Amino acid sequence: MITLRVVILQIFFRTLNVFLRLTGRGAGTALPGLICERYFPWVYEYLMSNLKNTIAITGTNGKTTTQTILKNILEAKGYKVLNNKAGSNMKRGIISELLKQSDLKGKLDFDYMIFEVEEATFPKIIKDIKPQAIIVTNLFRDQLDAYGEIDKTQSYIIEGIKQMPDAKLILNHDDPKVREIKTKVTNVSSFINLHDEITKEIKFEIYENEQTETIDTEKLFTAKDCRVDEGFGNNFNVELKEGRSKLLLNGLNLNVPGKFQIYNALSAIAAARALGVDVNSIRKGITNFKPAFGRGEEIENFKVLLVKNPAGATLNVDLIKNVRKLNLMLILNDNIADGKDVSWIWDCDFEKLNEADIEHIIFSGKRANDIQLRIKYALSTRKFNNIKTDLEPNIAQAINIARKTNKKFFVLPTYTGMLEFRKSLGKKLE
Amino acid sequence: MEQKTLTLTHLYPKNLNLYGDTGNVICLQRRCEWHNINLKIQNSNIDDNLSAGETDIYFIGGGQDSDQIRIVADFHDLKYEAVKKDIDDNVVFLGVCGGYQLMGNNFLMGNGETTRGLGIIDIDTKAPGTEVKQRCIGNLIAELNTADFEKLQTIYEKVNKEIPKTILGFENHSGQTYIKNPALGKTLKGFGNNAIEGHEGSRHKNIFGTYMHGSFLPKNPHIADYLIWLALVRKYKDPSLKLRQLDDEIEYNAHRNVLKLYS
Repeated sequence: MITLRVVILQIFFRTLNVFLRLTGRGAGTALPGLICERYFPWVYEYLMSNLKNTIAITGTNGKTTTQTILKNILEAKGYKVLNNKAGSNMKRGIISELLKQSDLKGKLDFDYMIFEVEEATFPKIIKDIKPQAIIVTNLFRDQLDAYGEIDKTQSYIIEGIKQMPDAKLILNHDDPKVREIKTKVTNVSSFINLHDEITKEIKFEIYENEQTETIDTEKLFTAKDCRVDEGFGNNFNVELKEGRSKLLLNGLNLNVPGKFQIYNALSAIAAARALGVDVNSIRKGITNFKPAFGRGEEIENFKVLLVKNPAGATLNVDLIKNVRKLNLMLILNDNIADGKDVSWIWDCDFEKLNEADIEHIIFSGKRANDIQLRIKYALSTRKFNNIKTDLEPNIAQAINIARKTNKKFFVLPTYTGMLEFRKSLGKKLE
Repeated sequence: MEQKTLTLTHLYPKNLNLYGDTGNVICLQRRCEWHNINLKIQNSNIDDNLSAGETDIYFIGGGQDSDQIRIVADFHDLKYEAVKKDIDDNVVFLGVCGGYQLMGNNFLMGNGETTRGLGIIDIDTKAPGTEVKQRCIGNLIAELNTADFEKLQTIYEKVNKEIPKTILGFENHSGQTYIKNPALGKTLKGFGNNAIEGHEGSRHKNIFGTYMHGSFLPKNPHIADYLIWLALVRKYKDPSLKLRQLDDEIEYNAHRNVLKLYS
């Protein structure tokens, strides 16, 4: 009987999806999930009972990139991998994605399944996902108005991990708030770290008089000799220390801007090793990687770098400040997915743009005025007055202004700003 | 004319730095630069001693509970006497969000416990009763109290652009604050001090407390100038001092955009 009910729902949702696409309302990614959550709660349990070989990724930044790299690696090994693609990673997003990926009877035909899980949702659904491995990327201040404080976020994650004592953990050793998790749980853990100057630039949460202990670890994955190539990609070597064995993986190339992205590659490598994947598949998976939307992809003359919080924004500013004749489009929205509170822009170190050779800045989005104000106060008076600036809250119009210059623009949008930007460019989401 | 100087003491910037609070300091720094005032900024963190008579403007922001508790003990040990002497002597003091709650007699922590505050202004922050369903989160718009608004009209050499009576920012707090001094303003949109009484912030002497972060001063440049003016008048003992009205088009556009979107 349950199968029949699933089939009916599946047919309904697929028809609905076609209808939404035809009427130009885009892919209503989370809509089936929303409907099931409210009216057919049994669908969730049914889908969850079908899961096997799952991996969960949580943490504030880098979930999507980590997930995509890991998927690439597992596929290079020849596995069929499910992941929740659109980055809408709340519970209803997961339901929607599973319905979409499953056959009409709701069965999932995959070797591995990767889930991105928001931090606050993590303890609530981790038992349903039953992951073999859990990756915690980092704990930056993210969407503070949604979750409160970083200590609370950490406690959500610990609460979730405690429900899964057999899952293998992959933790970022450079992030004190992530490293500390190991002291509160019993799981077998692998650590990642990065030997590079960039670690000093990244503002991990650390408080005075609250040094967390460095932890001796059996399994440690270290990236070294990191260099940035012309297209902002990363070249680096990785040392894999697993018990007594030490392996070197030299000359890796990751085509996604920002040295901090190496952390995401390391997390994916550590997870792949925890699942028993060989180094050749790892190398292949990383080399094949193409950035997810908004994570350094290039469309027309635009290079898009999604901005979610001050830490990520500061790293992006670091990345672009050395570009000659920099043209920038800053898009600030304050919808729920962006964080309704835009005060975080004052925590981002836009002052670094004083070192940059800036030609033109276009301020766009619902809160374009706020980002313009921030830049006025970040730049020296002389610098600000010498830059060509445009204020255009309407994103489609802002794109037109940029197109007319024929220049390459770096676009730093918040989440819904990025979605609107893509839509205005005429690209639909998958 | 000799360049005027002011000193701002930023209290506990290492521990209290949530929600772009530093934006308020950046704002005062830049506006002083534009007003041709040399603003010296000094940070006063845990274990730092503080002496009275060295500061013209104090600023304190909000932090996480664990940090807030840590600074209260330090404040009473090392800083209370100096700050108390200064504020009695009309030094300007601005506290925002968590910093505002901290300034009171006691404040509420996330676990519902009440802790002793810094004792700078007569306010009490309590746990929300049953009438409040959730945290007070959202854009907050208020009308500035009349006394300050009238005084604001007198701080500029010439008022070319109308000074808004509104003040605005973003609030995010569960604690409900009850004030004994006048409010900073009347709440037009959002909550303010608490979910019941319809007022926002607190005023006493030259002390200002507000729930508005977001950041508060950059989008309310009239208040930023007002604080600078109060500090100047006190330091140079010259009530006839005036500021030049700056070109604040970008500032007031951001201010008006929030009014347009959320009032």
